Amino acid sequence: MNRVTHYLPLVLFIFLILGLYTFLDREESDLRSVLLNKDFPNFSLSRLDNEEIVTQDDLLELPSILNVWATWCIACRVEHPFLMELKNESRIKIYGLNYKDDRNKAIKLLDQIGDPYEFSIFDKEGKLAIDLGVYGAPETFLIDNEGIILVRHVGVLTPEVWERKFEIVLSKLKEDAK
Amino acid sequence: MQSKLFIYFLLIYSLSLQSESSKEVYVFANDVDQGRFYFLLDTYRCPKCQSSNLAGSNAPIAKDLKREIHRLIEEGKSNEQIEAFLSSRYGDFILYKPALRKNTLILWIGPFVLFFLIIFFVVRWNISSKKQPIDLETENIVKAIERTRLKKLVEDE
Repeated sequence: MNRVTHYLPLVLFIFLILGLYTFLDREESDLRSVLLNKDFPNFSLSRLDNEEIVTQDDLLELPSILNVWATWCIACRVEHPFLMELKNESRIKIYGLNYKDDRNKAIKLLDQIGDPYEFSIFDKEGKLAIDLGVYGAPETFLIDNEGIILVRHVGVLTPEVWERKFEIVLSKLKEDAK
Repeated sequence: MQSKLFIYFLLIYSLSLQSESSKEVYVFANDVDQGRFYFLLDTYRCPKCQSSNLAGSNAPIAKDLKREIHRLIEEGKSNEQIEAFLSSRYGDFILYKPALRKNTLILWIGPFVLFFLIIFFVVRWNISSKKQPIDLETENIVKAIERTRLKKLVEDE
């Protein structure tokens, strides 16, 4: 038997390990939204703060981000200060999607800690969330001027994530507009 | 002692009954639809928990998807339409059986390639090991010696 076939199992094994390492490590991209580069789904749901019905046409100020949140979601509290910062510095408009929550609790919480959203959509049953492919909170979507979803981020929105995933796309949008 | 154990058993069993009864009940127009419902729940992966199918999950999102599947069946949607509904939102991720496409090709043909590779090398190694010249006579003598040694060992025991 020659030397090459002798080492073949080892070589195959190394390839297997490398393959598993690269593919299993890409959790985020495995869960990427299939809705990327597609139209924001149509919806017709009540606002959180009153009974008024809102639809996709009420997302007026585009580009903007849509942030999925809930009072039961602890990680949402972690990103909340950053959302407030985005709002206060007028860097972008934020729409909220209040996901499977209690309306009174949610309104109360925003009163206490501040409301970074233009308005929140009240999605008690998770209907719009399913159309968006949401499976938890927090999640954040970037919607461009034409109502197309460009970025999806699962998990806490940190300044670092903002820079890396959102800011890049936004600056490109601005450039294209010029 | 025995009766005490029995009471413990009943207590524990009643707990599991309670958790069973808290599950949502889905009513269908006919048995076929109901069968389809449970088939579909077994077929798709829960997006949140990742290692369990929809049927086995109590995550909020799994409950929502169960409700949606129930609604779609009631609306008379076919299994294919329901699969399209789910995969257009949650992607290939929720499919235990991925569609045959360019990027999923490795999943489909990978095992066969691996299988034939293994067969190939096993056969090759067998052939190359058989090529070594075997002296039958010597082998028989060795075997005889081994046998007597074994016998002796057994008898000594």
